[in-house]
Amino acid sequence: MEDSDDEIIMDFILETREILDALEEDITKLVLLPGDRELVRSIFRGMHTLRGNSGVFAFNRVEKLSRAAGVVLTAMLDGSLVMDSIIATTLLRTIEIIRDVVINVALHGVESAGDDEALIDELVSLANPNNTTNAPQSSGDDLVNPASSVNLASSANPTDLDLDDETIAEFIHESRDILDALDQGFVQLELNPGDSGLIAEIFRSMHVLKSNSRVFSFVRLERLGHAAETLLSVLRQGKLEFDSTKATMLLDAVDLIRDIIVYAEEHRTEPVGDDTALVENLLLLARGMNVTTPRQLPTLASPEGGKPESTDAVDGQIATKSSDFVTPIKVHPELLDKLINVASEMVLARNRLLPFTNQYLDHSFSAAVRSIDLLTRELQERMMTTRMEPISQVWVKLPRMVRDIATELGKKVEVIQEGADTELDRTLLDTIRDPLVHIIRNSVDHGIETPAQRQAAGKPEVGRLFLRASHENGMVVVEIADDGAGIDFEAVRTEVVERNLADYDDAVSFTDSQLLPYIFLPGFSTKKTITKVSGRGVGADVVKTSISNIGGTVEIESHRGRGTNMRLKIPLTLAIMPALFVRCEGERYAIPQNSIVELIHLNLRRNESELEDFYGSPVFRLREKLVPLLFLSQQLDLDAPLPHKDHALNVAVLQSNGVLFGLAVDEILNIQEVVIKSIGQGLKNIVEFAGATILGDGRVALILHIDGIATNSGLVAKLQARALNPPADSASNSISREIPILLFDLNDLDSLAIELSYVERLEKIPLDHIQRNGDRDVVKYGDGIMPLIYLDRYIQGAREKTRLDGEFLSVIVHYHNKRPIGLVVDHLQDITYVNTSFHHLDPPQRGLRVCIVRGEQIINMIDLQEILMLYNLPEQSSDYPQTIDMFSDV
Amino acid sequence: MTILKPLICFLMSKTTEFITFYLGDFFFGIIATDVLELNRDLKITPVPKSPKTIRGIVNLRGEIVPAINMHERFKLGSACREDGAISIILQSDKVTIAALVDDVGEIITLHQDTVEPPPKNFPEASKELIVGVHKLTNRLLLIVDAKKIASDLTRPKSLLEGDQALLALQ
Repeated sequence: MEDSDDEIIMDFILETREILDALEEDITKLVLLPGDRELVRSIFRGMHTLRGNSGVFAFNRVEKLSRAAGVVLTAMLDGSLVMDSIIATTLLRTIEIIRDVVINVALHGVESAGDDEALIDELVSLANPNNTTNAPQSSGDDLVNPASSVNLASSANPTDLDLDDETIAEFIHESRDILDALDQGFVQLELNPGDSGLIAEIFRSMHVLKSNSRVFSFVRLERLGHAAETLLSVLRQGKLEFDSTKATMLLDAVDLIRDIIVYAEEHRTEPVGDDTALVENLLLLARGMNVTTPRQLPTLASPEGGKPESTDAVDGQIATKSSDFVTPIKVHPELLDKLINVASEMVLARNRLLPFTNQYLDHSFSAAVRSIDLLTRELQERMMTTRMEPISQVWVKLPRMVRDIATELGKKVEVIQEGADTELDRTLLDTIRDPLVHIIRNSVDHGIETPAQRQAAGKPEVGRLFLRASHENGMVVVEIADDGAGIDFEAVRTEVVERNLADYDDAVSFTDSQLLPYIFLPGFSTKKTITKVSGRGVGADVVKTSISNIGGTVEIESHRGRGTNMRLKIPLTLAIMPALFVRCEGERYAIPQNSIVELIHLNLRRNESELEDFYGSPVFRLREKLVPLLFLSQQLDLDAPLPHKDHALNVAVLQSNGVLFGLAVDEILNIQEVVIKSIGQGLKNIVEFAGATILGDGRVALILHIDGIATNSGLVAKLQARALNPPADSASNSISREIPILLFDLNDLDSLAIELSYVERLEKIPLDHIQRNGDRDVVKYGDGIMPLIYLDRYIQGAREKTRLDGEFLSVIVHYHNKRPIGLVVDHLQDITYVNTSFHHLDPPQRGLRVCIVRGEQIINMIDLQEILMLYNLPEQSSDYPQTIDMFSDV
Repeated sequence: MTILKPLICFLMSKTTEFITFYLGDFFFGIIATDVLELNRDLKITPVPKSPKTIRGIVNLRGEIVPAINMHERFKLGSACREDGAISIILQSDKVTIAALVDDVGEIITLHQDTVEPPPKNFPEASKELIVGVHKLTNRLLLIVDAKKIASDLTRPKSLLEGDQALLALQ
């Protein structure tokens, strides 16, 4: 009993929250469109449901408040009152208080204490602007308050209130639940006549039923409900004893109500009939008199014979429509997750089945497998959609928030929503809520100007805030744009200069778009800045961090005087993400790709690089920067000997909470999309793991939790105590306008370079692996074939080198049209960052594009396009597969 | 209450079906209704830094389930078979586990009259798992409480909830 009560209250709280959200949205809309009667009706209905529900649970504050608000809304429905901002503010305040009360119910199970008389008076006087003294006073306990009843009744004019089908269906659905509860209640009451709590419960249910009937102008229901209610209220006050006569009579009433509702479900209206006998009996009982007349059930008028209260034409129309309406059901998310699991296992099972169709040439067998294939695919797709929810869930609250901020600041802002039905993973919705609120707050606060300023700038007085959501390349794009003043770039420039984020000379000459990235710098929104920078961009780093935490990106565009546009690109789902697989002591582990900075091969054998000691922990140099090194086997307490001094190390350079560190692993494998799963009971508290994933072969691999590893190793604390690199260094690095290049040399040419963005991988290939393919040298690469381009044949000034057996070729792997191409060089030197001020070569040299001056050194950038053209690749030849999985052997 | 439940169920009904299994020299029985399925050769992924009783995790139709080293769980001092271990998949209170045993015997239906309290010579640490003993004709059958096998997984309220871990990871 206790449990089910909690559940019902939980349902009430959830439903109330939905209603409140909808009410806020509608009221905010209504201010902009004061004449929209449909909106008024929708608000009225919401408020009424709220009142009915709170009545059932005897939440008196909520009930009183919603009733008072209902009075205002009734006046609006009558047309005697028009929505204005004062009414809106009062109504919104009422909703706010109701929300607080309900939150208290959720937390403590009871309403919070408080006096709402002033607000109720205000609402009532709003409803009767001419006659404040005669305003209907609402009192708490008397639920059948005549004043409000009259008001409500006047609103329930059927021609005025053409209720849509769905609402009636909801009403019927709800009524059936109530009737079932009533049945049970009466039966229990008969066994336990003194149970005053039970009587009160039944009374409230009956009251809700009656009030709902009134809204839908079901006169018979209302009359019956009212009579039953009257009897119950006498019983509740303890003036009469509950006995079997009364029980029978009440149950008769319930049966009759049920019959009427069954009829109404089909015909959208009540059957014709006379309930006077029953009603009078009930009322007589209520007055304490005995009913001697044998009970007789008023016969239901047959559907054919009885003339419905509405016209037949409308009747038929509605009836056909109603069959389309299906009440949504509630499903526990856990069940959905289980189903998704099963669906993805189905996919794996199907994958195992598919190869058999080639082995057995049985036609009907392969047909069966094909249909399983199709069904599995559809099952998987449909299951994935159950995780999705529309973004409107988050947006619903925003117009209200915008209105509040705008009113406070004396601004006028209109919110325009587009693509509110765009769906994304429900876990992501929660994550983007705060960033969205943050951006919008900023936009209204700093972006959109006051009406006076706007008029002076020749803009419409009402500022506009666009919210747009759409799908783009498998990502959800959420745009927040305003037509305000844009970012105050001069303030940003001042801040950049003051905080020494760039050279003074540079900063002065920065264009607006060059200044933009600075607002994303951590700490750019210190308290000091907020007071100084009146422009936008405050706290942008917070937004950027939370969006990139879920694998998304933030783009910002701003024009002085014309507004700002923020684009958030968010992955469709959190559950799937790319991860790098590494091997350590024979087991595979996945590292989330968004924490990987780069992968390096640390060769300790040659004296190119070496491990140094920094207060007891090993560090290595990465482009003049000291980076601490952790060994995965050590972090996971695997009893593995540490590598010798003269060993080569595979290191993944990772970033965690601003700490850069290297993680040495045995082997670096492939990058693959993984589905993240909980690691399960009893293992969740191992901080080194964030979860697990199931690989294509059905085995489980653990996903490393990079933050956890960094923290647990003591690295974070150590680095906080002693900075490894001077802080100025890192600050300038993170916003460098430099590009990374890979330096290499050819036989006679030093200091050649290629942009790192063209480089997919670096390989060493033994000479005896090279095979001939016509006149081309190729090597087997993964499952495919990779042609080799000897750069010394294409770059002017280089001499072709004769290569000896047993020699290894240094190869830069570049992907051109998704096919790998190996660029053969002599030695790979280093990766370095260079300024993008290129010098053109005069006269032009074959195979070279531009050169860069770096200190005393001149670096020549190769012209990859020209080289590829010279090599004259057979375009889209069928010899090469379209996509090559280069790691399929792992 | 929940601890006594299997015992009560078991005492209330006249006969009960047990799935039997072997661990070293011992012969165990587990109430058949607690067993979801039997699995041979599930591929176990070891989890570093996990408690000794957890041999690793396995993929059970898309759900990740801990594999319990029953030798360790009962503190028998004997070693779990390295290869070809059989998993008994148990489900209780929404927790699913794979209990790794040496071998599985037949299903035995037993009458309640033959039940006796657990023997005294059994390792003290694992006594709480044994609810009773059946004297069979040639050996003893130790009745295991399935719910208690997973109890050391659920007992420490882990600080990191699943969703939090997911977010932290990102």
